[in-house]
Amino acid sequence: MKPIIRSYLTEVNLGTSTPGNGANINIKDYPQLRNIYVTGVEVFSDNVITLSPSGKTVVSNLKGITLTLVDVFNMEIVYQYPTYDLNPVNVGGFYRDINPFQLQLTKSYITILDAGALNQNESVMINFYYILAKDWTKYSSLYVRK
Amino acid sequence: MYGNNLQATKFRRISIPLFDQTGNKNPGSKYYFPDNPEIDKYFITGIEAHLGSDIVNDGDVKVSVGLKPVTAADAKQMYVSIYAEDNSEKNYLIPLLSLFPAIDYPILGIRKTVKPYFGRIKTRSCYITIPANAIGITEEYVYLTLYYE
Repeated sequence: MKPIIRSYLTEVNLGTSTPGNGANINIKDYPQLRNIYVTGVEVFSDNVITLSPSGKTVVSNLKGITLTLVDVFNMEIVYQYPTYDLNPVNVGGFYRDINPFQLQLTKSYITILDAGALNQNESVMINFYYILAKDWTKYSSLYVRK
Repeated sequence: MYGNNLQATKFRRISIPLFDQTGNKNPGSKYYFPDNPEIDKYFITGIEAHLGSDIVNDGDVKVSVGLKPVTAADAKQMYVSIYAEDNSEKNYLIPLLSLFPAIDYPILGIRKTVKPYFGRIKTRSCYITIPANAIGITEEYVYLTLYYE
């Protein structure tokens, strides 16, 4: 795993009614995550978090949910990655390193492929590891592919 | 440590009580770390949480009578926020259980891994939070080991 300089836990709420299969839910704006290079990501279910910071119940099953991350050029750099594999509990405690890119959070989204195990008002917890764009030259050598 | 390539020559364990001076638990409050100038002088290279005996074989904290470590069930409702030396948000709302390195494998899956949180921090700005509607929190302590170089 690469060094973790900064991280921020975000919450995607499923809404007041259970989303249908195929629904996309955009990640809302977090001002702290503007102008950043994302360096890693992990997603949690209720085996790590039972209650979100805002008090919502956390989803119990990530198998029907994927994550798409979009960069500032509107490119889908990570497209429909299974969130189950982004839960460190399922992958030996590791978080997923990403070759850093400038994230556009508000165009990034989760996709519900199978809503069977999901309930209304539950939340998906996504933890982003990142570097501020202004700090990129300072830390970029930590993330260069060798 | 498995998965963490950063070197640490020192480490220090700190405890954070999850109740106020009168013993009251107040979910929704922030519970700040004790000030620790020794840790603030160095670069953190990893953070590890320790839990009580809820997890079979892995309750790894032995403490004095009355200083009860947080349980795994309660840790699932707690978050750690780490602040940088310039007081900026460095690691915001880390799920406490994700810092515990040795949950039973393969039942829950996490192996002996200390995530490589890196950089200088200001301990007295860091805190634990618990959602306001959390239930079952008793008079407990969160134990963290900070690895530094």
